[in-house]
Amino acid sequence: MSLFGSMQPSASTDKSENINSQPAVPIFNSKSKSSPSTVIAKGVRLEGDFKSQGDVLIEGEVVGSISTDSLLTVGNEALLKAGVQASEAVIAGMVEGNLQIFNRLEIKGTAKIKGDIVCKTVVVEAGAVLHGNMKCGDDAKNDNPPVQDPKLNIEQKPSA
Amino acid sequence: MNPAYAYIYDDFLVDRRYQEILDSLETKLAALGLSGRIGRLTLFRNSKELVEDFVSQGVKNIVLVGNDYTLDKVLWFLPDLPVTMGYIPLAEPWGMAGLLNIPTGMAACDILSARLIESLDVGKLDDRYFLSEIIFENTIATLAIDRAYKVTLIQGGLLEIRNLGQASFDSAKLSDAQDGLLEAVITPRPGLRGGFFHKLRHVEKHETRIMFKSGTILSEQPMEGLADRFAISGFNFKVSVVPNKLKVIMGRRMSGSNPK
Repeated sequence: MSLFGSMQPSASTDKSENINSQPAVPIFNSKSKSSPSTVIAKGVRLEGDFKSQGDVLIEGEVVGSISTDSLLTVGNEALLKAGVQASEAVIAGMVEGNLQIFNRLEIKGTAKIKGDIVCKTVVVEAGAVLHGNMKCGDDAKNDNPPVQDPKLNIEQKPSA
Repeated sequence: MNPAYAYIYDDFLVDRRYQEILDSLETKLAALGLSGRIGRLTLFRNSKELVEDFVSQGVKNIVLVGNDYTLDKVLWFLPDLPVTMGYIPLAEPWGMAGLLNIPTGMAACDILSARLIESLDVGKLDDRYFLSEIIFENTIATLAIDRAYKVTLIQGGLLEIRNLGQASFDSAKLSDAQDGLLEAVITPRPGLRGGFFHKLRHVEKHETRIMFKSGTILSEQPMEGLADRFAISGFNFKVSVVPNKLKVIMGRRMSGSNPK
């Protein structure tokens, strides 16, 4: 029904829709069946240095740095201008900043990453856009990219 | 009479229709050996003075009789007193009873008798305590957390700071009042989540959820909200959690808590 079709998440009506677009919320892996402990949803901006021990899901905007000891999921409408550290990550949105992922990194076809990547293992879907150096493997985790200071690299918007 | 117990009756209980259940209540409490002194809240009576007067006379258990509004009239200062709180819900709204696992009506007497006491976290909004949550609707507030980062509603929406449960219909998602943390739940305006009909759907995906210990709510516009159903207003609010601050006689142990 077209009436209730409007109830669908707005991802499918976005003008920047990508033919490879994935569901807005990537499926969590078996290690993280529970809902994420932190969610930054669409319509919300986080600025500063955010640290978490639990799973983190980003659908909104983050400016600064973000680190978690668990799984970081960046939805396909999310915008990160941030350095990222995480145990695991699934990236479907836009990231401007260096990524240091200690275990598995999954890059979806909708992802656009501008920054250096260090991870243990990586899965990249067709369609992903990557600008930067990438080092993968057991040795790579000792080869940390600097988690960039957003003040140096990112044009900050005036705070609300 | 048990000198360790005092019962605070809300003013609406003077209505005749509650007389019968109050009589039954007092009879049952007497049978359980729990009858105590009775204080009645009235429009012009200071609830804090009433309770503090009982405490100065040696009362160790303050039992609130009424509904959730009765709790609101007392909870803002009760955590600072050396007492254990009980609750006998006799009228709606009584959602807090569900969150505390306390049955409504006469059955709540058995909970008092079983005397399972839990220590709960309470939230603090400036100088005022709250047990359940703070709600700001239609706000463009910023939540600055632990001086590390800030969270902003880009186009405004609903800001909730939860300590225990929530006031909405979705009782499945309960904040834990024994984890030493508050939960900020931010929901953008409906336009950002798909329009009016989207309200009919499960919108968890559009909720921002962050756990934190202390922070500041800031706004350039004056904000009006509710802290435990009590109206608050202002530009800036300091909000924090005080762990294990309030002892409550509860229906059953909260999930995840350690037996004491």
